[in-house]
Amino acid sequence: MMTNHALSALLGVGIALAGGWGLFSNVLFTSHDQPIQFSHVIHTGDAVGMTCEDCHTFREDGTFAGIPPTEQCASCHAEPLGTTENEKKFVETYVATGREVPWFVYSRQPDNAFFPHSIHVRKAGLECSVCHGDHGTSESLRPIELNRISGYSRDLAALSMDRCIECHATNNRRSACLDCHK
Amino acid sequence: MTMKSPLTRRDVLKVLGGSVAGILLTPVPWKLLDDTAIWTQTGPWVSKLPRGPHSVLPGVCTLCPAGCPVALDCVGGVPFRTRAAGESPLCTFGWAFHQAPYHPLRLRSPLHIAGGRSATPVTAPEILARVRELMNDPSVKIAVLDQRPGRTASLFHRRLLKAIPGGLYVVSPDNESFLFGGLSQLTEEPGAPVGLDVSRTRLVISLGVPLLENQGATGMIGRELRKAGARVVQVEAGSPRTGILADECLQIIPGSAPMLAAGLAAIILNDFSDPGRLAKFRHVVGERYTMNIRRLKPDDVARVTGIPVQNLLALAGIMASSGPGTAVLTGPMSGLRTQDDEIVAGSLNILLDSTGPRGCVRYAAPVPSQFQQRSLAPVTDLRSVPDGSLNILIVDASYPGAILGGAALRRKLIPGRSIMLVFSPTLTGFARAADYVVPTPEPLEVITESAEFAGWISPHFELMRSVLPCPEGVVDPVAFMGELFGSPETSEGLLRRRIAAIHASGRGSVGGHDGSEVRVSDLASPDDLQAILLEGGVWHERTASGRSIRTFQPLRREITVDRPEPPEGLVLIVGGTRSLADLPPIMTKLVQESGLVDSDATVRMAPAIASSLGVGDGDRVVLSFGGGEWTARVVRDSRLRPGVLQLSASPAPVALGVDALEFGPDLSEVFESDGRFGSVHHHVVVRRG
Repeated sequence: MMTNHALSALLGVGIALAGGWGLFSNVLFTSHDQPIQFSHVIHTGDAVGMTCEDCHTFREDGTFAGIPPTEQCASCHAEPLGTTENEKKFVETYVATGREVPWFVYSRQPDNAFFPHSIHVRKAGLECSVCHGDHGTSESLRPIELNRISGYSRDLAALSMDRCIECHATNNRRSACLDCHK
Repeated sequence: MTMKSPLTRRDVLKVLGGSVAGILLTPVPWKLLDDTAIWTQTGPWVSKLPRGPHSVLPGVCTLCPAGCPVALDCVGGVPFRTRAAGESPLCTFGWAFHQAPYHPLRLRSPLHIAGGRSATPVTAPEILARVRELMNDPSVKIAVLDQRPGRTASLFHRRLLKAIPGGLYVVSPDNESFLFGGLSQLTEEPGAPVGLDVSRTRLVISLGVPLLENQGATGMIGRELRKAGARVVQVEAGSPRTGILADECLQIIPGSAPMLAAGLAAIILNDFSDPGRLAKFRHVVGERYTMNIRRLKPDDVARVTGIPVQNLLALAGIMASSGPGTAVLTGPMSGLRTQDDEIVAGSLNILLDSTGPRGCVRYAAPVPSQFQQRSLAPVTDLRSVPDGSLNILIVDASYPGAILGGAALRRKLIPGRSIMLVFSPTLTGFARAADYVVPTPEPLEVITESAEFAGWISPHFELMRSVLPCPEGVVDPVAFMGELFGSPETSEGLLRRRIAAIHASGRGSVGGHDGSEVRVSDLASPDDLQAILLEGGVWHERTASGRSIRTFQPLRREITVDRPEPPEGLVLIVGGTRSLADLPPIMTKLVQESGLVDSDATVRMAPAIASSLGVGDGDRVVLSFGGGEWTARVVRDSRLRPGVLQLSASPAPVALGVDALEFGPDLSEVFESDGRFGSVHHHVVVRRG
């Protein structure tokens, strides 16, 4: 029969396991709402029919421009095209004032990692969804979770170095440190 | 009666123990370790690039007078990489051009340094008041040592100093770009920039000038000489490094460079000279010196220099046959320590008529400026300034330049009644030896210019625009000097007026990075010229080849050449490097690990010497000679002459967390030399450190 002391120790183990696996990640990450809501699916769906690269463009020198600047959005949204509050807020707060939207970027890479989109998208022909999942068909922007210590997004777990190496190995591509860590 | 609690202290400890054991089975400790490690690399103290569009900014590197064209890769307008944009490869300084503003020893406030040990913040007005207090004395002796002569700010300093009695404008003899230092002293305008017309040059005798390093101002001249097909004879006392790429490389015994120059002059005078050249030479350097060197026997010269007689005769013959197309250049590593030594070498150019109408050595054509030549103080060699003669020594080290020992400068001051004030962006080099340090902007924080440099006769002018905000607390040295001397001015204002002067002259043309070329006379306004310059354009006047040097001042003193006996035992030549302390840490690390430049305290010796001393690469040894000792790390170098040691010592490389005032002494403080590189020491004793 198990003694009280053994039960106490097991209780401690149980508390630690529950806290460590259950609560810890909630404490470690803070949740932030995006400044305004945005529907990717409205833009990429049949009604509008845009592709990812229509907004997330490549510059002339081949580098990836990332999130489009307000000026680019304003080429269509100089005035609200619809009736949603979010679009109205976007036009009034950012387009009219020329300010950039302080978006949180789910897939923002660490400063010490260099990821060239052009090679992966244009040369290797990877679909955006291979790394970014169904983000391009999302109806709204979910809150972003940022690590309190490192400042990195929780989404980076799905875009980790292990995944890069795995994909490179599968496709018989080399994986030298300096390829990504400049 | 007391109730017994069902939970004992032991139970609590068991729960805690279980929790500690259990927590190891969760991600908590491992994730915290990982995130903390990441945090140390991403904390607020780590410089970060802004996010934004990638752009390429054309410009010029203004860290040295060569003005190499560069392309700065920027993200969000902040440079993160410097690349060479022309045929000129970048040196280690150039690669770090964009890193300079992030130097860990960057100064943000003026400092008062007491006894070279403790630094306390002061304000610029307090320093101004302290200097003015000394300037109130009508007999005050004030000098400005310019670490980068030839800038527009240099002309401003000279104008200020001309206006006050006792004002001296001083340059360092260690400046790499003074290739004709000795010759320049003999001209009718002593100190006037003298340069090389590469198109007329057939033969160059380079006494320690790093022409073949392919970097910096001298490297630029070396490249042009190669293009023009000129023959280069490199003379070195130490390890020849790139000198072995010359058409001929002569390794002389350390300290024998003056004898080599005099010996070559003797052979040319006796065997090849025509009466006209002889008369001109005699008129300038004096009858007695001419007579003395004519008595030199090639055997004696060969014994002192270590160069075989037949080689000396052959070299003198080639020099004579190349005549006015021959140039004798001297540099900081030439082994010519005194001004007289430099005159001995420089006068060879007169003997060969290289300064005549058909000669390749001429006055450098000046860049048009807003200042009249007669309103400028003359250029004085630091060695001409007697020790203990100055009340105020201002060092403009706002640009990186040659580094002497700080002690060598302090000896120029009158003890107890003097101030040494240094303009510097970092607490390195001369700033460590100062009484007051005024922090200045780094390039890329203000508009900077690539200075003219003596040695190059075609005038050129380049600007690098500012791309980063200027930090609070830094002071414009021109504004400080203007306020001190009651002549308000700013660096930017000076440059604007320089550009206006170039435009008003209508001379030359301005070439862009894209290969375009526009004549200045076709530009409507100075603003148009400035706009092109700020886009990386270069103003130049290729057709200007400078005036020939027709008139010389006869020397008023007698010069002599020592006839040293060949040394016995080990001889040490001090071959310093440019200050590594001026480089940001990442580059100092690169420099040290690549072996491109000998870093702090490296002694080179021939493998046979190392074997006889029982030391190998990396061993530490103590060198004793004269009145001091110096510890250095051994590098075996088979290119050195047997019996010769070469010590490279520079201010210690920057290390994070190191107190800038705790770098230790520099070499000149230990050996009481004049702090100049190239000095030679005999009877050296080496023991294991």
